[in-house]
Amino acid sequence: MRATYRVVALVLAAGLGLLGLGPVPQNASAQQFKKVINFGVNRGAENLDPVTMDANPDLWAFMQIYQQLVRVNVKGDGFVPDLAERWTTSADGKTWTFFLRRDSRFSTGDPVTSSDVVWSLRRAHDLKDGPWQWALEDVQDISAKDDHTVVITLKEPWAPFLADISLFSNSILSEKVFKNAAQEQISNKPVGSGPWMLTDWKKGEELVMKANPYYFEKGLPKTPELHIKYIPDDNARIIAVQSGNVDGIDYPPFSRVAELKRDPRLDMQLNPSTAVAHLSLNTREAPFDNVKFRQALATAIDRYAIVRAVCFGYCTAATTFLPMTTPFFNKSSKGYVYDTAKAQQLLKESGVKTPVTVKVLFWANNPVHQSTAVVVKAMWSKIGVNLDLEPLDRAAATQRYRSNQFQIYITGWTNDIPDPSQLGAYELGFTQSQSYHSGYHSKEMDDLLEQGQREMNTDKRRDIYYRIQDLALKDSPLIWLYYAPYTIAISKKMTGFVQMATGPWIFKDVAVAQ
Amino acid sequence: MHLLTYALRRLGQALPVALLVTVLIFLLIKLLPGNPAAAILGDRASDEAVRALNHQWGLDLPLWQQYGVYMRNLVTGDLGQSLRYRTPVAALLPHRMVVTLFLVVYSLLLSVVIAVPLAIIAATNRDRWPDQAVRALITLPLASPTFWVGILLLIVFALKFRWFPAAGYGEGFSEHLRALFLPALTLANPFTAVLARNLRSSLIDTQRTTFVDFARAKGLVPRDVLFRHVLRAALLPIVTLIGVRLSYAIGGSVVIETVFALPGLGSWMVESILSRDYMVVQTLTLAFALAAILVNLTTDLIYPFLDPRVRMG
Repeated sequence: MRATYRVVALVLAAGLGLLGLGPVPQNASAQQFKKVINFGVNRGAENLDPVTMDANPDLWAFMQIYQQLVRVNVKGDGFVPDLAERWTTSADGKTWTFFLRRDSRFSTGDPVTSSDVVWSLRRAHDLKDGPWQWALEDVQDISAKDDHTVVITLKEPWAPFLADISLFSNSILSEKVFKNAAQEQISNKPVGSGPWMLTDWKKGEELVMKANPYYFEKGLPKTPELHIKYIPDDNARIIAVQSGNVDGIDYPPFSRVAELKRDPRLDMQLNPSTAVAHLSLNTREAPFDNVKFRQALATAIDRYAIVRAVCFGYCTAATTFLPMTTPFFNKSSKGYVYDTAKAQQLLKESGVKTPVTVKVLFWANNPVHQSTAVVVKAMWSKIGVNLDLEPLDRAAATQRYRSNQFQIYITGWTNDIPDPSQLGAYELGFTQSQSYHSGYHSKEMDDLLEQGQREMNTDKRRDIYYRIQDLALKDSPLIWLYYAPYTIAISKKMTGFVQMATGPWIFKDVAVAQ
Repeated sequence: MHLLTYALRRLGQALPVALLVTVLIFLLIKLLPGNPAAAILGDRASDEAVRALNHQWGLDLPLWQQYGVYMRNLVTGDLGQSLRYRTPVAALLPHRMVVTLFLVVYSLLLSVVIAVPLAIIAATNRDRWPDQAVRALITLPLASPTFWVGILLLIVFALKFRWFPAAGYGEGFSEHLRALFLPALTLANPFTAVLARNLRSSLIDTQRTTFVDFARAKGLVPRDVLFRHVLRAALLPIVTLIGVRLSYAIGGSVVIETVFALPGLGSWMVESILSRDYMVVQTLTLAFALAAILVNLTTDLIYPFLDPRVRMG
């Protein structure tokens, strides 16, 4: 019977032992810089194939691994050489020649040649029903002139071609590795020529990358390893960076920005982005088929109040459908100015009888959407429009929205290329997405979008996109609310971190002091 | 032999329950609005792409056929693919399972380590100040939401003192012990209170029984009476409690794993439900159900060993 006593004593001792584990002593022989960059993210990667994926966490991860022919610059308004050190355009604008740098190698050690480029771009072009096919839509042929020269011919002159070829989906994969590979391999085991290579992927947990020893920029990356860790809970992610478990995190919510700015250990960044928040209106059905009604709703929204309530003041009220950082953004556009009396007047002109009840669909577990819905409800109630809130979980909401079973949907956009053509075609053109599922279909708009893609003269192109911005506001199939910055919190010990306006992070220059 | 037939009979009863669980889960998740292909491909994907992916995954087949395929695969040991991660569920399952099991067992141990001494102190000082103090102390965790306690522990021990990591699971056994300490403590929290209260009253009741009187009359010192006779008998009802609690702890892991970013079954379940990753949800629900059935069975089988008075009917 002594046994019971001993067990209790043992258990007690074990408990005290565990409690006493406490802090692990610092390594005395530590070097000046950390060997590993730890970065906490709010969403995990799922598919690292540049051609078939469709989510920011995926592309932000594989952009560390793959290179493209040209790359968007950090500000998001121009291009810098990547795999191609230079390029030329024929006089008719239909033939583009890219000259590859000769010192680029995949992480396998094999040199990057024209045939890798041709194979990768043909794959991106030929895949049926991919989300990014539009980027190579006007390509007639892709061929190798020699080992380091690639010629791409277009069906017709195409103004945003350089932007389109810079898109992540046109990443250059190793032909040798992937030529006969199954889709699973391309999705799970990327092999590229970028600064990092994937060495381990614990799905739903972390991506482990090591410096690509063959990366063409000598001495980079500065840190040998990069770990991207999935920490979905906002509080846990913030505590992780504050306690030094990770060196940086993405997406701390706006509600915590002020507090993180005061933290002396952290650099709380609000990086310029191309994010636009908007409401999609289903213009197929009454009363949203009535343009005056849509204008009335847009006029009855106080965007500054939304910026204060939803973004805690860190966003900017939207004045056109284009993000501020996109070329041809019309700075002089006033957008919709909040005016309840004018909104009531427009409502009267629309002939829609008030009070009228409409429904807004949004993601239930998204605090930003939630507060947006609540604030808009309060504003619209002043003009006799009663807003019913309909929160659904993400998968259910997405399906309802995709099948056009909604009246108003809270969503948003980020650019993937530094050119207005992608957003224009997706949000206002009927063919790609029925104008972001709003059902808006305007001949005038479609013609203008077409012209914007063909026009090679920059001044004329600007003029076209100014007209598109005006027409979009007038027709209001969507109500644009605000431009949001990217929120990132990194340790002050971290240097060299860059986030591009199109979203992806650049870690190759990052060093973290011990 | 008697025990074996009993065990087999209980197992036989458990099988139809497990089968029923698979049918229910299968139907429930299909009834939910939302489609995995649309959820995974995102807003920008074309309708054709969504249709093609649904076809590839066999999600356009009639429901009974889909269930048939699922059951056939299950019987042959094929747990299907995680649609979201494009990886066989069976390849992801072991690592995730270890994390959750580690967490649950760890939390149970912590509960016992904390609750047993508290209950002994309370019971041996009945109605005096130590008893009152313990009773007041253990009411607190009962009244605090797990989610909140988790965040609080993180702020104090991971942020202020930096004794424990804020997120993740770590590499190697000693790091697991450290990384899982706060989550295990959070998970242990409500159970510790229940355990301490129950053990306290159980100890008090046992002290009043005739065999304890007899032990005292034999001339045993109070310490020996307590540990040899009272505690052993008082632990019996606790075994049932632990069994019930284990099933709850597996469920509780869902919240804990999300707060502490642990790559276990619970957090995986939540993500998979939200993205309609059908195969994963089916497999995990089945695993949870089987675990609950197994725990119940084990509890029943342990009983006769602890108390010879319990005989199998």
